Amino acid sequence: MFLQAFIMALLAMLSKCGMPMWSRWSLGMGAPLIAGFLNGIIMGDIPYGLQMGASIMLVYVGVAVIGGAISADPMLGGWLGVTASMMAHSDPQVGITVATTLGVLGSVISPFERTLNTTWVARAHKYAEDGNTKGVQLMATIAPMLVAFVIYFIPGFIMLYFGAPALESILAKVPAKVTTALATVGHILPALGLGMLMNLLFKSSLVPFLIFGFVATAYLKLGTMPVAFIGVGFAIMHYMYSRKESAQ
Amino acid sequence: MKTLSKKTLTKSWLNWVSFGQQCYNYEIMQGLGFTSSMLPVIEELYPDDKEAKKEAIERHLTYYNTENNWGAAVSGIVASMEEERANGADISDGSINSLKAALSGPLAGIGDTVTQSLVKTVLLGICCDLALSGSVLGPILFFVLMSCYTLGLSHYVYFLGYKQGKSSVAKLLSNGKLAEVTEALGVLGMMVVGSLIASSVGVNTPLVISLGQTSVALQGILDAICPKLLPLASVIGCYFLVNKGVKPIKIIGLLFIVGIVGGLIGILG
Repeated sequence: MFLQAFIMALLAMLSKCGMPMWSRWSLGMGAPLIAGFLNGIIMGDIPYGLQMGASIMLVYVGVAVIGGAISADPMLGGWLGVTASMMAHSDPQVGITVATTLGVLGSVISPFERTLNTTWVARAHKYAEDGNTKGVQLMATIAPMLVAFVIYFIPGFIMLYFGAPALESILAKVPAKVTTALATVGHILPALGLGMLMNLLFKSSLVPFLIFGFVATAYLKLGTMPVAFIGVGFAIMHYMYSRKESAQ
Repeated sequence: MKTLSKKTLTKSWLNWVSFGQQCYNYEIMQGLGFTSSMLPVIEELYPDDKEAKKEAIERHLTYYNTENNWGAAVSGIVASMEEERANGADISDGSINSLKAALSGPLAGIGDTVTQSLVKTVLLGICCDLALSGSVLGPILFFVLMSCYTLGLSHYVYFLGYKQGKSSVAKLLSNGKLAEVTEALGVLGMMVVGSLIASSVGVNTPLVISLGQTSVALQGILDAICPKLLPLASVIGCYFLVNKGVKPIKIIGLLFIVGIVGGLIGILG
């Protein structure tokens, strides 16, 4: 349990400060999915981990960072929320509520990190005076991790190590009616991510494809994979036809 | 004649794609990360010239903000400009700065759309489906494919930028082909969103209306009209709120209230 809390708090810290940056898109934006899997391995219950991870991931599928501003944070919600929910052995639908609350907290904390990091910029200017490239590199790499360590790792670890058992006993005492209500929140929350995504992709010429995708799954019960394949087919058609039109 | 070695360029690309966002801050955003990608270049061009190093570092320690992967093109272009400058070409600090400012925005625009709303969404949609059906391939595939995308794409555009300079990226941005490809990818994105509305939003109603002897489940009536009507309605509702500029954090609050109140009084489940 100590090890689990330690590893997950560390991964939360690394994905929050984008170390390394190329992993921000897998370990950061996909944090819940991967955290569920890793926690499943640690706890010896991979199916539970996959269920928890994927259920929480769906809330964040549509979340995007635009110009550095994040609206809902899948990273703390993922690494800390998934881990806490699994340590407390909660139901995936209740886990969504736990994770989303932590995710909101995450987007509240981020500004502190970005403000504190300005300290390293000032120091980098000082190293530049001496033409010290190694010093500047340290400011760009190791130094910001100190901030992340204090802001994300320490509270994250404490929350998981001491908070998860408390969470479990609280969830056990909560009346069934409240648990059902929390699960309802879990059922409706993914709508936000998808609404945001629609807002990003929206173009009136693309609306028919939204309908096709919806009907394929709502009526024909197709999974995302076959729908994506059909989507590739339509994408090629759309590309060819719109080219022809503009050529004429 | 100074030429940057392949090793230095690889290091420069790797510095960007690893540390670009590390010291993200409100003063110069990714400025320190960009500088980090220029350090190997500076070291190779001016190994013993302290004054030149200082000038070069200060030149790059300015405001910079772009998309992680597509933005690597700018690092490549600036590396080639630094090389020309060290060989005596007349390239001022101003022209480097204006190039960074001119390209970082449009590249971020394309990058945000392609990386986040298309590549990430489609992969996540598929991989969540796999995970929910109990396959460990879900998380593994997502990590591997997403990493291939970020590393592969950033490597490609970095070296494209270095070899062909700013003209290559300007061409990429200005000709209609990229816009057409992005729109075609939007077709795929929209289809996956449509499918996800039906599969991932689970809201329904347990309400049963009793009329004397007979009782009717409301969900059954809704299903007869259109299955997954409530998920569709909630996504469209969220879309309009987002479109109106309501902050997502407020919408989360609203959904919490709707879910808890609806769940407690038994309208929603």
